Amino acid sequence: MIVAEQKPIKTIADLIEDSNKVLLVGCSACVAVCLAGGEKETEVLASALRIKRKQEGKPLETVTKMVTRQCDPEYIATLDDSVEDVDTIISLGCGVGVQYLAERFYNKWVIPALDTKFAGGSIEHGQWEERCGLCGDCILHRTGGICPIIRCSKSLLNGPCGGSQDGKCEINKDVPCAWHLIYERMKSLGKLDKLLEIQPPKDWSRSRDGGPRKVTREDVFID
Amino acid sequence: MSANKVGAVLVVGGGIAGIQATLDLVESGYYVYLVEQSSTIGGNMSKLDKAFPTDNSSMSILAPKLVEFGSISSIQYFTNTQISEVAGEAGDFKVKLSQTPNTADTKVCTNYVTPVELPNAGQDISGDDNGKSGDFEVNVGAVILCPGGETFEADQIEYLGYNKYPNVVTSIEFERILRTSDKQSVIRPSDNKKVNKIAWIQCVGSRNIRDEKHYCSCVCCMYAIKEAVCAKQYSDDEVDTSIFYMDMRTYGKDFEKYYEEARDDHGVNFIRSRIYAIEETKDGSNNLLIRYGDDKGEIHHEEFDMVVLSVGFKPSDSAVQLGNNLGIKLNDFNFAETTPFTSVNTSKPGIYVAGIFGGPKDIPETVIEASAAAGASEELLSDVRGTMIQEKTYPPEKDVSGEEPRIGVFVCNCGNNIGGVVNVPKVVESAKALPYVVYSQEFLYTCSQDSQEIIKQKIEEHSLNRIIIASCSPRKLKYYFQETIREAGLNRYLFEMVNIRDQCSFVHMNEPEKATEKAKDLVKLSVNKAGNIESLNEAPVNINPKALVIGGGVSGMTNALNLAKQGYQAHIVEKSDRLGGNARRISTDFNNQDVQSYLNQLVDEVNSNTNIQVTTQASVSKVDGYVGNFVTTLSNNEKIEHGVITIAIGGHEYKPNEYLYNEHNAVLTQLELEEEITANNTRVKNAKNIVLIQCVGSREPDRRYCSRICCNKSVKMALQLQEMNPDANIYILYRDMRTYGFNEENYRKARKQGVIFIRYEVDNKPQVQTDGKDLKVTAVDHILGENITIDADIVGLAAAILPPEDGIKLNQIFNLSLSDEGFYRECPFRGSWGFSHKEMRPVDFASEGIFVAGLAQGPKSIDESIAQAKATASREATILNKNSAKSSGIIAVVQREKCAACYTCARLCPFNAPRIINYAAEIEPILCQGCGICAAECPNKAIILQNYSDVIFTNMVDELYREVH
Repeated sequence: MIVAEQKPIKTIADLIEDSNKVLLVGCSACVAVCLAGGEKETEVLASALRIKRKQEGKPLETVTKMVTRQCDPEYIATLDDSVEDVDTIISLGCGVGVQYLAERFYNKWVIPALDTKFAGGSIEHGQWEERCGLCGDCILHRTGGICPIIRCSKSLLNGPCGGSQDGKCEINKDVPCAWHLIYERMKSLGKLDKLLEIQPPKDWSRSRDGGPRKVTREDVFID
Repeated sequence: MSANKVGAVLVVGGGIAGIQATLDLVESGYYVYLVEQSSTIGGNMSKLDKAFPTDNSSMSILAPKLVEFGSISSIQYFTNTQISEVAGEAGDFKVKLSQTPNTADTKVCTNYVTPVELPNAGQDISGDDNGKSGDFEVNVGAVILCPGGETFEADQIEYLGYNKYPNVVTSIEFERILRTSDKQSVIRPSDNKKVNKIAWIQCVGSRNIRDEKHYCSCVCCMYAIKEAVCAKQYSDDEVDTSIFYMDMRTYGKDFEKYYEEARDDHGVNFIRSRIYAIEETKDGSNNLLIRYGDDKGEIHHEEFDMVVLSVGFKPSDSAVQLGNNLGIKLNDFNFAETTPFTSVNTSKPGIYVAGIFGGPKDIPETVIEASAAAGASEELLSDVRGTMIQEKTYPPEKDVSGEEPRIGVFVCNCGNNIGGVVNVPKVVESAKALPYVVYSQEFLYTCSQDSQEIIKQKIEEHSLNRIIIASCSPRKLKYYFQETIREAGLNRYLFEMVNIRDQCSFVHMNEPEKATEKAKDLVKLSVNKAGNIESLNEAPVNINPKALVIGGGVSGMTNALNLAKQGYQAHIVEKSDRLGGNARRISTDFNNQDVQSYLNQLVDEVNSNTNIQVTTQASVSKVDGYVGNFVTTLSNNEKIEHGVITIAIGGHEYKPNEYLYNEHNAVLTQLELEEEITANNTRVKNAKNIVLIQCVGSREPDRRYCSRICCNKSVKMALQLQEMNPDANIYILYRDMRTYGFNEENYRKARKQGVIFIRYEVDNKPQVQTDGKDLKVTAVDHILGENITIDADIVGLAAAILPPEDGIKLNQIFNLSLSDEGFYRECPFRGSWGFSHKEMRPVDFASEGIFVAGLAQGPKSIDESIAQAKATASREATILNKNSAKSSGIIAVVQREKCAACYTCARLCPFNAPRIINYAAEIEPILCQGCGICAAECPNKAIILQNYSDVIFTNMVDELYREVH
């Protein structure tokens, strides 16, 4: 899932300083699951903003809405009737959601309530970790199911650097060295020999370096 | 045994043991008469401040049980009552009771900290009330004795200065000082001054040869530590606390950690010593001077502001007299003796004992024994189960859906408790003016029987469909009032309770007008809520009257056999090829009783009982379902349907890495040595020097627990070895001798008979060396401070008891809670929701229908395992005896369309109630306890706790602050 984290209330409040009525839009997909933008967080944020503005003597009116996913136009369309009289739309979706709202409601000021962090998963309740670098050219079959692109601080492709100590990365003792993990896993699978194959430089054009990306499935198009 | 059995049980004593036994019996279909010689129930536990090792308030643990007790109908109880005569035999006793006039008001027995209301109190058989005296007879099938114990009279040891110096108090008096403390200081008796330096003296009246109290009282080490930590926590100023002791006996589950934390984190001083005298200082300060000898024999003097004597337990005179009257066997110290391998059976069939009268013990063990005694009675009386109780019938429930709310508000004066502060007529008047309120009145005591009749009458007369009672704490009386409205045909959940006693008259007693205003506001809120609540259904589930018992050791077999004799089916799954478990390797127990013949008899009984099925060489691979309806798949693909689960998978002995174990063949573990003793092996028989080393792998940084039984076992083996070869020198190297309870007798005997005990420090452990052939053990003599070397022929290692090997694997199936060490953690939920605390459900898990017994829960002796296995059976019988069970109405429900299947609820629920099924959460009603955690945490607000929705609460808040808006 996409993992996001809410911005500080004060930051969000500053972004809507001039607004008198705002629409807060939550998302029931990834950001609900990572406890950042579901219905609960949306309602709590709305209350917090109202309280803050009331204390400052400039009461704020809020409307809250939930959509199943902010990254599909049909769901966004369900908001059409709610945006008319609001000054600002606050999206509790990921960066994708904010842009979908901004595209559909072209004449409205749309702002993000979340910082979109990474593609990852939950470790335990209340903790999430990054797992995928979205590089567009997966090599996990070569590295024992452990991604060196995102989990190695240097995205190395052919083993660890000299900063790997006792299984930890030199940037922080709490960060495991991805290549250490890869080595251990490949060893337990009896596939250490695979690590001897030299990886040529990666084709980063399939990643962000090639500019904005697009996936097209012509086979599913209906004319 | 009588042919005409009676399905009722007499429980003697209204302390925690009596209450627990009663609750189990009543839930399992038996009628109970409970007699208590004092005027209130609650016993010793109600005198305590906090309970170790969880530090929950003792009263807050006890109170829910008292409430449950107050709400049951198939019981009669008599305070100020004693047994005068018992005739008959097991199954059919005729017991004469004699009741003395009561001076206290039994309706409200005020235990000065927490008043405990007792609805239905004191109806006796002849229809007289409790205030009158008289003799009467009850007819019962079994008797459970739980008269509790008393503390030792400290003034019998003159040199301790009790009753002579005002600042020498007993531990139980100190509990009271803690309870009444303002939590900013601890005050001493002589001058009400804050104390800054307190001493505890251990073993006062215990381990005492002079006063013929040889036994150890088991709980004093722990309560002294607890009191010392509390004294520090309850004082704003730094308080110096010292505990003067001989051996620190923190042998129970989580006790060793508690001890270490007190010493290392809280800074409690522990001084191993002998006390010679306590005297007042001469300067008139009323301070006390302790003269003591330390472990090197040096004499010291130290001054303290206050001294607490850790007094031990003894049976009360009346309990001894009761025992003698009943003709049961008492031991040398006048505690009730139990027959071997029964834990709770007295020498007389049909009479059982639980709690301190059977020997000193802590609260969880007392509760376990109480359940075990209930289980034993249920086994005896299974053919007459349910014959003395009547299922209550109710009028059909009125359908009020769609009706406009018609609210009735009843406001309680609680005698003077509320009415003395809050202007109750004004509260009634303001209630009448609120929307939808059609009736309101006050009562002197809303909880009285008469009031219940009036409430029912008013429901009828005014067609009330929502009832509000403004009185005391809902924790105590909610269920009772819900019964009343159900009897009047209303759904139980069309009810709200407002606590205008604790929240108004108690806390604002000096501001009656404001207290009245607050009471009016609280009633207003409640009326607002009542308008929005709905009738709720209690979901029924069928109960499959069968238990799955995992593990075929003594615990598993005892559990299965007890259930089988109660008429339920039990299926034992054992992973090895035969029944018996660890007990196969044990010759005798600590009382020198033959374990093998007992074990063989137990196995025979299990094999021949038609209610028991045994599958060996199999394990559990999958469990589906929930309490009442589990479906378990075994490793051999067999599928078993059952209602409850007993986890009795045992534990195992640590294989040491230390002391040349595995390197020299004369270094053995306790169990290995025991096997050689049983086999009468010549090398053991001919050994001249035998060294037993304690705490091998226990009480270490990576295993911070005491294995509890090894001291007792080494002492027992030392005596056995001495008998085999009287010329042998036997050495026990120890850190603290933890021969708790009556095991102290064996320790005393061993010392007397010349077993040599040498204490070692954890940072200076004994050395075991070899030249390839002979063994040498070197240890420091703690008095001389010099090394002594022993040419050992045999070295026995008291290796730690480790958690079950399959524990973690099995736990992936059950998702229960394990302790840091890997033992099963009973009832882990320690929140403040008013649910179970560890002390009170010591064999239950938070997941309904799953129970634990034996070593899997923690190290323990065979007798303790047997008690736990029977207790588990008793708890299980409370479920299995019902054809169906009902969930609570206040449960969480999922709106599927909003659920993101994020797992938040499933991860956070303490009761394992939510599961993700078909891409959305489902909450199993029978498992849901209505705590609301899932509803609060659900990120998509997909979960609603019925009658506690956000809308209800935001409405209430809006109502309260309407004028402000």
